[in-house]
Amino acid sequence: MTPAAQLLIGLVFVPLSTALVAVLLPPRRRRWAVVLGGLAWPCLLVPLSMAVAREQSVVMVFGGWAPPLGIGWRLDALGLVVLWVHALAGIAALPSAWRRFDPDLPESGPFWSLWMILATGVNLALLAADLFNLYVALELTTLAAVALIATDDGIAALAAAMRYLLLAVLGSLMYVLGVGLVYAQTGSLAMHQPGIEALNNVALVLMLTGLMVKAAIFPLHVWLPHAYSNAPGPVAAIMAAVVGKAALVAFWRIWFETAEAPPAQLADFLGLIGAAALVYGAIAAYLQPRLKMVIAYSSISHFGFLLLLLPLASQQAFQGAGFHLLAHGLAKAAMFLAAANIVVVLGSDSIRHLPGLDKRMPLEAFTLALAGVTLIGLPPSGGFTGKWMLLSAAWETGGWFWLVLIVLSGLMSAAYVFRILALTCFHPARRAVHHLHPRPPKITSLAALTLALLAVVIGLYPHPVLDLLGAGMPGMVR
Amino acid sequence: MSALVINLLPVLTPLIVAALLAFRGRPRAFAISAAPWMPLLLALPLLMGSRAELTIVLLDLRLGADAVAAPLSVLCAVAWGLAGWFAANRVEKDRILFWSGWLVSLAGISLALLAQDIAGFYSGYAMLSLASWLLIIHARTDEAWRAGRIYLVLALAGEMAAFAGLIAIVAAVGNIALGELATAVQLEPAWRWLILAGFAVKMGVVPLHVWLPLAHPVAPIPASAILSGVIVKAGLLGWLRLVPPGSEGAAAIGPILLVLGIVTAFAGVLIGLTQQRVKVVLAYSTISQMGLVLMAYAALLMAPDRAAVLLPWLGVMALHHGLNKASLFLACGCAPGRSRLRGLLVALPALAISAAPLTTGMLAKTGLKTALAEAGVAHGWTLALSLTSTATALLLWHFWRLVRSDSGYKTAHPAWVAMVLAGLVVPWIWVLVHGLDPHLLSGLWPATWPLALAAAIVVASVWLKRGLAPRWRPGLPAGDLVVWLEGAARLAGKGLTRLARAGAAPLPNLYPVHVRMTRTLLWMERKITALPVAGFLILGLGGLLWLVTRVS
Amino acid sequence: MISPWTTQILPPAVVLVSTLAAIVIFVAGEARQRLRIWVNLTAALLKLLLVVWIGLEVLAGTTFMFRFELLPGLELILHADALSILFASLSAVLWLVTTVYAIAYLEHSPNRARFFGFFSLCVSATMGIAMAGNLLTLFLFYELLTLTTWPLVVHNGTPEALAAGRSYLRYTLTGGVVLLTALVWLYGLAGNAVFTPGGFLAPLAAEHGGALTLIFVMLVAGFGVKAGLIPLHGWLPKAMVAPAPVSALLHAVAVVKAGAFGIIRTVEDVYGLELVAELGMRLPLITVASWTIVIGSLLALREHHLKRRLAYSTVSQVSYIVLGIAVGGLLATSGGMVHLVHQGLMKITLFFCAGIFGLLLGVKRIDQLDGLGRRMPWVSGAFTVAALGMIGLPPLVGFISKWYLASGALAAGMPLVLAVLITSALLNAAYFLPLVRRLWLNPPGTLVEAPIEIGRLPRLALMSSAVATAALVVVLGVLAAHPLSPLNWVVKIAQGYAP
Repeated sequence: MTPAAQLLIGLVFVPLSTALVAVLLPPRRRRWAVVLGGLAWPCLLVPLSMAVAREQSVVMVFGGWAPPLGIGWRLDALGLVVLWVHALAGIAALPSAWRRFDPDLPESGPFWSLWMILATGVNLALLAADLFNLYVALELTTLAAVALIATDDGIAALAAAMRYLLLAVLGSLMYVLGVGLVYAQTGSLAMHQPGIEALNNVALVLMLTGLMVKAAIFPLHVWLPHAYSNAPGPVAAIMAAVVGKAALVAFWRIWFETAEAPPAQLADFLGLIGAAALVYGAIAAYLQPRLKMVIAYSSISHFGFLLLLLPLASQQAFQGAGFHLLAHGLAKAAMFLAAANIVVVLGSDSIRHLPGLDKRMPLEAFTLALAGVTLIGLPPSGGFTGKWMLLSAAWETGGWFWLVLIVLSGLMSAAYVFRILALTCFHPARRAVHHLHPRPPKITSLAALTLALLAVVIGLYPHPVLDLLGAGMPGMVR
Repeated sequence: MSALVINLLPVLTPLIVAALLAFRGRPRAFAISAAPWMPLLLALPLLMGSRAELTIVLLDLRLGADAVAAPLSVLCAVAWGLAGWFAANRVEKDRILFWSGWLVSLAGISLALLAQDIAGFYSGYAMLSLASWLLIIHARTDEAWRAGRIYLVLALAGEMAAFAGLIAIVAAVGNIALGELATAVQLEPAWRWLILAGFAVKMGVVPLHVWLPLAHPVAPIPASAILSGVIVKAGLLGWLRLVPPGSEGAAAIGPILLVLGIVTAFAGVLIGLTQQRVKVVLAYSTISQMGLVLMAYAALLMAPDRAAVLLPWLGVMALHHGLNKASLFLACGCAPGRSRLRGLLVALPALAISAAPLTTGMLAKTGLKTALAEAGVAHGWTLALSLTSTATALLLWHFWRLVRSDSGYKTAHPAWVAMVLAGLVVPWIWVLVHGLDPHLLSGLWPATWPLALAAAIVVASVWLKRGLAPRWRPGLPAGDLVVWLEGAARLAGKGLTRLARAGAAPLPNLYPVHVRMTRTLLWMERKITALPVAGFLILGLGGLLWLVTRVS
Repeated sequence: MISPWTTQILPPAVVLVSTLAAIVIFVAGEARQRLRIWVNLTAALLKLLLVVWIGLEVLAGTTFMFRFELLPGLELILHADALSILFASLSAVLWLVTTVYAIAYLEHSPNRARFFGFFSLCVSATMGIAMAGNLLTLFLFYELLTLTTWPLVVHNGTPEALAAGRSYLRYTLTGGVVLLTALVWLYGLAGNAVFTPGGFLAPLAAEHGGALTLIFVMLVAGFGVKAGLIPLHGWLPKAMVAPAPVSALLHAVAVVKAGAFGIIRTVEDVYGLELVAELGMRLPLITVASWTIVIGSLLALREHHLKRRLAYSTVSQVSYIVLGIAVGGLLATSGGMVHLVHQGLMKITLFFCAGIFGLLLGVKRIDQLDGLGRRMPWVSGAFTVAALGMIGLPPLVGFISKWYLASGALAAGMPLVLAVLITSALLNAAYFLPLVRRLWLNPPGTLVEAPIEIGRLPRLALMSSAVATAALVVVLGVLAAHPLSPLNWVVKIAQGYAP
């Protein structure tokens, strides 16, 4: 085992042990523990990034059994990128969570541990190199997420959490059924199994459908808008940044790595579902009456966008999609954090209350605008870079339909982003006086802004990430 | 350097003085008192005869006085100057408007006269065209606005026609010196016709004359005097500059112009006889006289090798008509019917224009006949020319009857007297200076009989107690053709508006987020959010995916 | 001698000067008015100096090139050639003037920090467009321009302003999307290519003729949205609800010109006019431009709202640029390019004046202009000069453009283009002269609103900006043949394209 591989253990055990420690500590001390743990595990990413850049992947095998039989962890470029999003979003959410889950509040008790359990689950899901490990990780993630959503004291949050739980369990069931079939057929659970003939289509479809529920792909997205929009602000930010994405990464992995030769027509069909999600999410986002709903539906639209990787399936497309994952994660987290502050001050996130906000909360308005630029994919931003790579891929494979669709996606994002911005900054009702609560500490706003800025700045210097992703996925280029 | 100053002074000084008008108080008072003298500056380049080149101005501006511009420069200096004197005392309303129009027009015509390159000439000409509009609308009555509008439309259209033609030259050889034009370029006939037509607007050649009878009656008297006396001749200058005699293919169009000239000469008189307003009658007389000038120009085109002789004769015609017509216009403001002396002061220029023996008019006719002879035109034209004298005499008799009862200003203005004298003398001096043969004796009889004929007709009409004009008056309004043109323009305007509306139909709304769609989407979202539906969807989608894998 | 490092750093510096100004303005906030004014003016002056410096160096033959690899095989290139300098100097000069004007114009209005921040960003984007060395960079700044002008368009926050902003975004973002598609396609075919006089696509023509044609159409359509080519002009008249300095900048320099500049680059530096002609796209381009010129003028004639009439006039006039480029040849190309500057000067003057009328006297409609000449002689004078220039009256700048365009059209054997120009000149006269007449010759009407009193200094700043640009309209026209005039500069550029 290389030294780098040992660090992988840290990625899982630091958050896990933090969760345990937090439970044991008295309520007033818990958040300190989480701050330490939440800041500690991202530090591991630095050496790991160097290792991945050097060796393309870091593998850790348990008990000396090499894949395909063994149960192991594997960190590749894609996982690393999402881990970075996770780390950055988590750090940025700290101040907001610190304020929101004050120890004096009853719901703050379980929050801190649950957060770390969620982090454990997400990290594990990104590292998992076998199908069952992935299942466990995703279950862990889901359960933690459900509990986190329910930390909000509103009835709506509870209902949303319930809905999420039920649907996610249904999804998990389908997934685990698929895993069972695979095991029965091949006797192995390893994700990447060179030499195994075409995966049983039934198993593939079952696993994919299950993951689609978790990744909130239209039309299986119905848990997401309510869950995200009713969850406490920092929870929504973290979930939007990584929870869906972890499932999506798993989806890609199964598609490209596990299924050696998935049926081509299925790729196109899934692409079409992605297209439908893209359009549907954007229109729905445009029509929403609440800011957090707009952001949530925007996620649905962008998950659809990321599904377009399947029909395009080239190294360039993979780079683009991976980069988009990064940019979108950062931007979404930033938006939810800004929205959280807005809810604190206005007491609501109804868009009717937005006019005049740019005066009271300029940093939040600016964050929304910057993140919006990335969502639209205007140059120069992370969103543009991802979009450009996907476009080039579409051009190279002659996928005209996808090309036009990708181009239009920016336009559709623009519709809802500019609607919000126009309302926030320029609406005539701007002089209306709301009942205002004291604004949260400035560091919360700055954290959100930093994420949004990062989402834009990575577009200016995307080389390190693109180089990392350059190796592509096994089985990517057919 | 001094050449530069000399050539620039007549152009820049009026503009500077016009700019001073903008400042209340002393500068404005100074400007108004200095304005009338500005035309005299034109004498400077004329006398010095030097040339200047300003390589950084416009498109390489070249200035200088030459033989083509000389008679018009003299005319401009004298007639414009004297009219300015008249105006200094007589124009009291809206003086700033009047003098700014006056001065900018003067600067324009000075530039047009002095410019030796195409762009410079066109610049001066355009400035003149636009600024003289200010003189026409000076009264700002409805009538004046209408006259101004019609003038402006015709002037701009004419200018654009000329522009098209001269741009054709420029496209071929660049902004060359005007002197080289005759030899430098071979032009398609269509472009030449555009140039001719463009400048013909200013000349008032039928059927482009319609603005003259509308503009003259509404403009202030001194303005009418220079419009009719000087500015119309800017058109002639345009012809001489841009379609110079000797340019390839120009000789062929001479006969056509000749016919156009004689038609204009007679049409002007005939329509003028039906008019009842003094200055309208004079305007038609100008049109008629410009027909004669057109004939002289046509002859010049047909005999380019005789240009050295014919050009000064053309100058005589321009000077003669310009000064005498200006006198007649000034007479309109001096109640000429009040005394014998004043009657005489009207009669002198009127006789001159009718080409009475020994007047400058006889000189002009002689010049024209010489020109036609040089051009080798058949004898019949000479008779026609004589008859134009008869016609003009009748028209001016008509004018006299109208102006006699005119009671405007009671006092005569010395500028008028000076203008009459100038009309008597200056063309003669010109002839002497250029050593032209006036054909005094041989010209006497041809000059006498048409007038005698006219006198006979007048006497007969008086005896028959009928006016000169026929009892049946074709109800011709001033400006004749223009009435139909206005109707046509209105129709065209409507058509254009419709075209514009059709041509710029806005794009359909690209994002029809229709209400219905909104409702449907929200309804659908509510439906699939319900747990049973969602569960079914999950299973259904899984099944669908599986089905897709089964499709080969 | 200039060091190689400087040649690399100067182009981005020109772009970033106003970005920095914007950041300072945003951070300083609404209350720091003096700081804002100083930052604005310093940045504008600094930018002007930098542009002049680069311009002189370019004249001396220095090449400026800044390369930055944005993506593998995808470079952000800022360079400075003569054409860049033309557009950059226009922007720099007019930005300075507009800044002075805007400071005075917005003396008492809210949200000034926001306004000036985006104002500066907008100029940054324009500079980026000017200095762009390849299509991607041009596109990048073109999109940035959309983003930074939108807040200016909706600045007033009225429902009309918001509607105009929506319309603006619809048009420009759609245009951007079309551009992006074309760009991806083009990069797929030709790779990462720098603007080359005469184009770099000719070798591909035999194989990919159809694709290149389609890409050309898409590029022109994408840029044409901002250039206001009919029927893509719908946003322009609506955008008139913006404050006058914005309209002025939008019409004279930033947005509309960016579109026209994009078309110039596409035709001259990406395709090359010869290839465009070979693909059979020259005549359609000429047709669209001519159509826009005539129809734009007719629409202006119909309009009774002052700023909207000016807007349609822009639609018409900017197509002169496209027309000149499409006709080609030394004369027409010069005429088209020089109109970039000339139209900018005239139109900015007109908008300045319209803004002053609107701000101080509440004059919005044309029939309210009656007799304003006596009330505001200087402003009316500036307006008159610019309007006469638009008609193409000598010796103003419009005449110079018209002269070159017209002679170029005939030199290229296209008398119909000449007819279009002449029709347009007549129509210009038809919609501008009545305004001049109303200003000076009609009896004064009653004002709809009481005149607003503003301080002496702001008043002076407003008027002097208008008079200064009007003076340039005269001076650059009279001294068109001066070696340093835009005309001569442009002729030099055109010689590079059409020797």
